[in-house]
Amino acid sequence: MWGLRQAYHDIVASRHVIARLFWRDFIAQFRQKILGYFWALLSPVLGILSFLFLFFVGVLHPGQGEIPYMVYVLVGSTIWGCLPGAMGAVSGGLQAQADLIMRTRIPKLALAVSSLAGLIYGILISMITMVIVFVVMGVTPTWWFLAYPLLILPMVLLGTAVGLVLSVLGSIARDLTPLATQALALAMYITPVIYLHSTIQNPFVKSLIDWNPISYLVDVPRSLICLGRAENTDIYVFISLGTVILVAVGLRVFYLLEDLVAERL
Amino acid sequence: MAKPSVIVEGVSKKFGLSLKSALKYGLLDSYRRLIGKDSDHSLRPGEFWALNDVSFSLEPGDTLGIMGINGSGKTTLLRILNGTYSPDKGKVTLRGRIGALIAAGAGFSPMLSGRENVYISGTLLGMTPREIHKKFDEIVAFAELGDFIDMPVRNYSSGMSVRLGFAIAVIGTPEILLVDEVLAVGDMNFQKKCYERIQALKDRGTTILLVSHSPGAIWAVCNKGLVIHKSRCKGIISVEDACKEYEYINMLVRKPNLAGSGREENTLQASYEGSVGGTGDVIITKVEVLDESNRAISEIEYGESFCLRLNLDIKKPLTDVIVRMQINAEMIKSIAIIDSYESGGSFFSFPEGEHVVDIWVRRPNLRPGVYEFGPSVLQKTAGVHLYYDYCAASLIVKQPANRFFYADFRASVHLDTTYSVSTHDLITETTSVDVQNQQNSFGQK
Repeated sequence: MWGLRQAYHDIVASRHVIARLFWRDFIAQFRQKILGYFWALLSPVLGILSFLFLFFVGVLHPGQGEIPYMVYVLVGSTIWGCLPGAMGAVSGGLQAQADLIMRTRIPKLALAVSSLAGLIYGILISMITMVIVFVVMGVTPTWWFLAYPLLILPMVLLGTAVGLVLSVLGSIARDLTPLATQALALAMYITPVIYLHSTIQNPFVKSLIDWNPISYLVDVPRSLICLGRAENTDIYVFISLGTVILVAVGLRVFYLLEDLVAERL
Repeated sequence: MAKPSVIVEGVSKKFGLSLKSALKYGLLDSYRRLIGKDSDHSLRPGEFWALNDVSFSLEPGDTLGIMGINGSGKTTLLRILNGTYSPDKGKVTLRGRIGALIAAGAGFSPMLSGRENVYISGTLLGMTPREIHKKFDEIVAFAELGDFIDMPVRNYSSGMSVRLGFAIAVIGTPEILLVDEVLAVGDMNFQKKCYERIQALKDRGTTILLVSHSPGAIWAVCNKGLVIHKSRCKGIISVEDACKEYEYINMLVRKPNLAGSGREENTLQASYEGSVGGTGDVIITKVEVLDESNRAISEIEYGESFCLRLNLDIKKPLTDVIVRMQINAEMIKSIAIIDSYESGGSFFSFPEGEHVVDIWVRRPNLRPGVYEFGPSVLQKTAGVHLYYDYCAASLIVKQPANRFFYADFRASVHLDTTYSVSTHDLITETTSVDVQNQQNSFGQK
């Protein structure tokens, strides 16, 4: 059905390759570094510190909600990060592996999605970071926290769907991927990632946020993890199903256009 | 008869000449496919055929040498076979596991050790982790790396990493092996080992397709040949014929464009700085190469006689004239000199006006190749050239049909030789050599 079956076969056939490529990139990035594997934890911690700094010097006035602001921002931005993360990994996958496309017979889909292995690893690491922050802030996460990888799956799927289209079209027209990245940066402003929805006064911006499907993909998992309950879960489920369809569309576009890519890398 | 392992039917591939046209047509084709139409397979402005209507088929154990000058389409063909590019027209069918050896050693991670890279590259070539584990020692032994296998690849010499790349690719047992210009790696012993390995794969029934610029490599490995020229090919021929045709195409490309003949008097330099010069007393207006039927030719069969015809425009009466012709091969200047005084022991005298001098070269032993002719006119008493031209004509000597000249394309002269083999003790009776043994070792060389 629409490339899903072929995608399954391609990925199963190339599972060793995907694992090796992930292992290669993972190992190589920690070689010849004093901190070694600690870098994997350091980067997200540094990211949080910069937010904290802005918060404590009073630059940000996020408003106060039920969730402590720091936890709110951390969880929100971690969930948000899956979207550009997945999109960037998949869209850049083919160009990053151009050498292998030229030399080997590995299915192009496997190369495009191989970087997602890194993203999955990043998600697990971010869970550790969150636990540390929860402990520091004295917040007890709900059992939903264990379902975190599942809760953010729609974000990963959305990023993958867009990334699949960009990986082929972006190889033909090189400015499409930077354009999409910029558009995504703008989209973050109409998503309650670092601010509370309730603090927005402007009715136009308010309705933009309401109509923005990504708002629900960020807000619902965050509320479930921190509070154990969330509004609009029905919309969340509906949008999640939509992301599955989008992945199917992305795969369809990918398979239709993949053979135009090699000669343009 | 075995089923063909490689079938290529009317395969064509086109590319955009510029990035702009590649972008335009790329978007256009994408749009057509997304709305359910097929890509436009006709040649549009700004595109060219990189490969045009190529067809052939190979059986298991066949070894095909693919030859052609730069830009002829060899690599495009190999990439289509490897599945990297999809053809715009035609169909490719491959039966069996494919090993590709395209730019060996590329894609290694410099920060990782040779050991780690073996596992990565092996996986990328389609081997399972278990297979790699089983063949690991064999790979390391083949690459002659020893303890260096645990050193980061960035500290490898270029030879070491290429050896490792080659070893990983050939130790796997592909049923079809695509090789692109990578046989010339390592020292002589390693190269010999590579050839032996390829031979072993061939004996096992692997179909091998080898792209190379080196007729020697093709001839050593292949039993069939395919010459691609200007994106087209005539189909499979014998490997010797393919080498000959490739050499011939090369000669056509290398043959210089002649600008030396027919120069006007007022452009003549009275110095030795240019490629044409002289005092102006005589001008060689034209130099032609003629065959035995007096037809002007640009190429000739090996061993055939030819005539060099010089058209002289004598501006004033001249005596004690020497007509000389320098013959240059591609790599070596002045492989032969023809001098009228040396040949006949007398001088020419020319009244004013136009004259024709024919120089017949009988049964020349020129090996196949491109030759240039530089005529000059001298006067014994003058001490300088009355006229000279470094290159006024050129001639291609073709490969003979019944013999294959391959040993060294730089060599120009063929000497007729005979061989006789005798054992050492027949010549010097004092030595005692195992005759049987001696004959065997000679036979193996």
